[in-house]
Amino acid sequence: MLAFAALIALSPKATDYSKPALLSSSRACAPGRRFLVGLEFKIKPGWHVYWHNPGDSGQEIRVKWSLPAGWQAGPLMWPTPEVMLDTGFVNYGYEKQVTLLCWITPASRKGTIRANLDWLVCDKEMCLPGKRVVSLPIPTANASVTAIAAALERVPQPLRGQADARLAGKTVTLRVELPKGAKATEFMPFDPAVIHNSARQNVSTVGDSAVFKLDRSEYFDPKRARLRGIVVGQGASPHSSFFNEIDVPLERTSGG
Amino acid sequence: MRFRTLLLVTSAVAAMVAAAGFRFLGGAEVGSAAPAFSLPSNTGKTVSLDQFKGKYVVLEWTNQGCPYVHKQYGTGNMQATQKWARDHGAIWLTIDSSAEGKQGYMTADQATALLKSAHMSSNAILLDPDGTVGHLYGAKTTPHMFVIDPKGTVIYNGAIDDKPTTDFDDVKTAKNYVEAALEEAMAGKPVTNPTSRPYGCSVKYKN
Repeated sequence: MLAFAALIALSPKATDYSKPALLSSSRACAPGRRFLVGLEFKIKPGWHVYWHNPGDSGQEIRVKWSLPAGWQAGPLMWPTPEVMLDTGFVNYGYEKQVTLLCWITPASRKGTIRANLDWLVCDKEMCLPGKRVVSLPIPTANASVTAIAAALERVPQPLRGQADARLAGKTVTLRVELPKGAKATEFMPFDPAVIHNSARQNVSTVGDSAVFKLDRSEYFDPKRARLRGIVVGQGASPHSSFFNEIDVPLERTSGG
Repeated sequence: MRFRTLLLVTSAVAAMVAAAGFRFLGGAEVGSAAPAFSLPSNTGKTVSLDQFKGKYVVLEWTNQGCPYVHKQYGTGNMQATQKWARDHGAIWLTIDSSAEGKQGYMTADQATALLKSAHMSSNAILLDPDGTVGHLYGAKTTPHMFVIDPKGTVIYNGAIDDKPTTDFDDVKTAKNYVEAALEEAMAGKPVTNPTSRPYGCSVKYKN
């Protein structure tokens, strides 16, 4: 046990490779007028932090807000992650930089926002756990409008078309209606034990829909009733991409 | 249909194209025969799974530098689970699939020293620096646990417990899936939780 403690004590720290900070979309605030706060991680090349579904390994960034009396925080908004493939296994996460977002509704004109963070940063050689409290006093000298707007662009929007999902045997079939010319490339599940993360995703186009054939996770919970996640792909115009959120019943059919 | 488009080739799409290569499939499925393997142990002996037919066998993937493994060993929970399993007649094999130069890699001598210094009750630490057995079983994380019954069937594949954190305090309230699977199987009962999503660091396989 001492051997382990000594090894950890000598090890590099998570903050050497991933630096968290809080950003505000607004320099000042007023009671009841919500504004966006960003939790930014700057990540050294070769290292990554994890999405709320980390995939085959790793741990999501965990945030506990500590706010002035009466202030409220909305749910965390996560930009669409990258699919990272390492020795055959899949992780969902972020390299170089990510900014998670949260709407804050203040109850006064000044106060300090604190976030208690618990995260994991890894490269191909090692993983390091991070724990830190970051804070942001409001009013603040600098607003980070550009960084927050860029992060918001990568937060998935609900799909406006039709979607449905069916489980037959070990195969999940997800059908997603897309605009003409759009091409879906990947489905990223919100829940970690639904889809076999590293199985190849078979996507075909049927009429105006993309049809994904996905392998059920080896850790699949038979009681699971919904399929939730992000459909990612390329839009009709060149060099465009889309991230659309789906949340549909996972229907059962016999056979397969 | 409203649609979000960006005038950028995003890194996400670029990464997905790159990811179209090798993807892992397979692994040791619950209800199937445990894949046969032989590996060198910390003492230099070759250990084969088929030596232990007729006994329960626990496989534990480890990486001594991983914070999730550190939680299990720093609190003594993994050692207590090993001791409990051994006291109930099971064989416990700790497997290190970290490649040379990566976190958790051990030589045979280092593994022997670790067994002692960490007060482990494993029968042996098996060395798998090429990752062959890790990939055969689909070991994804450290820790990642498998339980094999006396007939050689996989009866558990997943996490050590239900608290996917690095916090030492969580061990006290965690449900230990490995001990529960062994206890139920040994009593002739079906295993209530035969799978759970393993959590921890990725196994530091050879590239």
